[in-house]
Amino acid sequence: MTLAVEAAEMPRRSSRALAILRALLRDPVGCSALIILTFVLLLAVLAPWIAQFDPLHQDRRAVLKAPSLLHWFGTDDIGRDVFSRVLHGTRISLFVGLMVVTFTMIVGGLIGMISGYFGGWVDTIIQRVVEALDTLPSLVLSLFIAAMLGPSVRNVVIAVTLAQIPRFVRVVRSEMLKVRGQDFIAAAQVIGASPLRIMLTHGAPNLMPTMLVLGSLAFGVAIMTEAALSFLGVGTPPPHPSLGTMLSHGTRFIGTAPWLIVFPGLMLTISVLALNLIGDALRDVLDPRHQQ
Amino acid sequence: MLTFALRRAVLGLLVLATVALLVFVAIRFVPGDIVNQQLSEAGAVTPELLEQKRAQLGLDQPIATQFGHWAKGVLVGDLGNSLWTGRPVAAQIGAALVPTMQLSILAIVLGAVLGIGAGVGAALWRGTPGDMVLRVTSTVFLAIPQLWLGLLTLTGLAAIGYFIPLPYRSFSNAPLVNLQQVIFPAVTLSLGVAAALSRLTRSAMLEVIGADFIRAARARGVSSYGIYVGHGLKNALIPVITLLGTQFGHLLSGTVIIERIFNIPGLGSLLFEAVATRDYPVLQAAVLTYGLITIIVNLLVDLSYGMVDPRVREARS
Repeated sequence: MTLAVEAAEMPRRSSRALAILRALLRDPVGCSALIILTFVLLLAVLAPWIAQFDPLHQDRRAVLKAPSLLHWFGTDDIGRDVFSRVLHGTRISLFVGLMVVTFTMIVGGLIGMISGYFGGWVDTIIQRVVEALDTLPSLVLSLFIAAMLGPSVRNVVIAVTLAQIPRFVRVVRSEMLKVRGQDFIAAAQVIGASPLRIMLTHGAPNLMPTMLVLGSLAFGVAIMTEAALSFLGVGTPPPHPSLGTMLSHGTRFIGTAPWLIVFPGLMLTISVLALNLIGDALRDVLDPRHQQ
Repeated sequence: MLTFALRRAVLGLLVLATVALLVFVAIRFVPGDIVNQQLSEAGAVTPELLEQKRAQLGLDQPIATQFGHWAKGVLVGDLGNSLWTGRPVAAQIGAALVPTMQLSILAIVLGAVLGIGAGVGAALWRGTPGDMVLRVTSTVFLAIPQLWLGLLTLTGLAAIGYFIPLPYRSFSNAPLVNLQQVIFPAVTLSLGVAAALSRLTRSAMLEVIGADFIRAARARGVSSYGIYVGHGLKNALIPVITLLGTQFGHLLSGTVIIERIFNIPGLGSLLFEAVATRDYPVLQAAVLTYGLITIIVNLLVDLSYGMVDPRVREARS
């Protein structure tokens, strides 16, 4: 509750980031979510060393085996180890999510700031385009873009990012409108700072709390969308083990090998849950109005 | 009220026109068109054949001319013909729209009833284990991807030996079969909506319950049920309706996946096929239809504010 004040008084940005992290750790939900996310991240990063099997290796003698001590999550129809594939799939999911969030924050943040700072016809054009993109359900938009560009990890990142940007632009713009009216912006204008400089040194830091909350929620959405696109066959191309592709593969053995469905989806849900909880906790920590 | 509705409708159509323009241009800027694909599938790509076929489909015209031609058609209800099958697109969209709308309306109603009910319950029992359970459940369901929930439903049904009858039958042809096919995907879709709604309903209710007029109602001796539903929910409804509108958008995203999992030949399946075959007219029309649905839903949400809140009605007239 005091953090918003505390953080505002912090002179340097690094110490501010630390203050946010400390407040997040003090919040029980935020703390456990951070622990879960760190665990998932470690699993993903260390996948090549943790997984006992090559995710692409096919073992003809172990086809559609149920979970056992050797194959913790069982094997699929061509004898690949599901545990290893889930770990490597999580790696791709988190990578795509991270890329999407980074690009969305940079591009969406910049466009939103420009729209809010300049106003006028620039704002009008940006808002009309955002409005139009916003009418399309996000998966429809992503599917459309991904299909146009063809299946590759890079194109999935582009497709999911473009679908996330409108929401970012809208929120950042309205925050920028609030910031623009304040005295320190006028002061900066008077001493002749360029618009870009004002946006980056005065706008961006003030929009950071909002961007962080939006970003962590967008991370979860990005992971889900990547899985959905891969499930539909326009996402991460095989043979990369993507969680969505694994689920799509598993539909063929739905009555006989439920482990092909259960484990990839479980990993997906845990990641998204941790990210959503961090988003909720961040909102509570950063925005005093959301305190219950 | 009527002028307000008309003005919103016109604005909505302008947005839709922007969507149409964006989609139209985006499609044509991407390499690899249908002619190339059709001919290479037939195993005969010669430059002359390519040109001939493009001219036949009108793809050799400037983009502006193509758009003008198409837009003129849309205005009189002619969405063109499928590039592959030659069938009129409008008929295909119409046929696909029925299962999608049936599914999403069923899901949104189920989700609203479940979510608002759970939210009011959680507010009523605030601080009790019941509240706790409802909040944890909604947080979890908000994180479960529709994709997985749908597949888990199928897995669960298979485990108890139940298989949804196939192929898809429409409600007017075989209502009983149709209901069996639609109810499971609808429930799957509704849970995410319910989770989001219950969280918001709870916090909106708690905010309203702290207001003075609630204390006044209590003092007048209104029963606590009357207070919660008559006064509390009625005043908490505006943000809930707003969220219901945005949730409908998420729901439509969900139908694309769910239709595929449950083999329902709706708009999502049509969109997916059009995307796979680069069938421009179908693709454009499908994307536009999604836009149209969203705009109609937003309009309904806007209009319902006036119905729920007399102050809004006053301000608009």
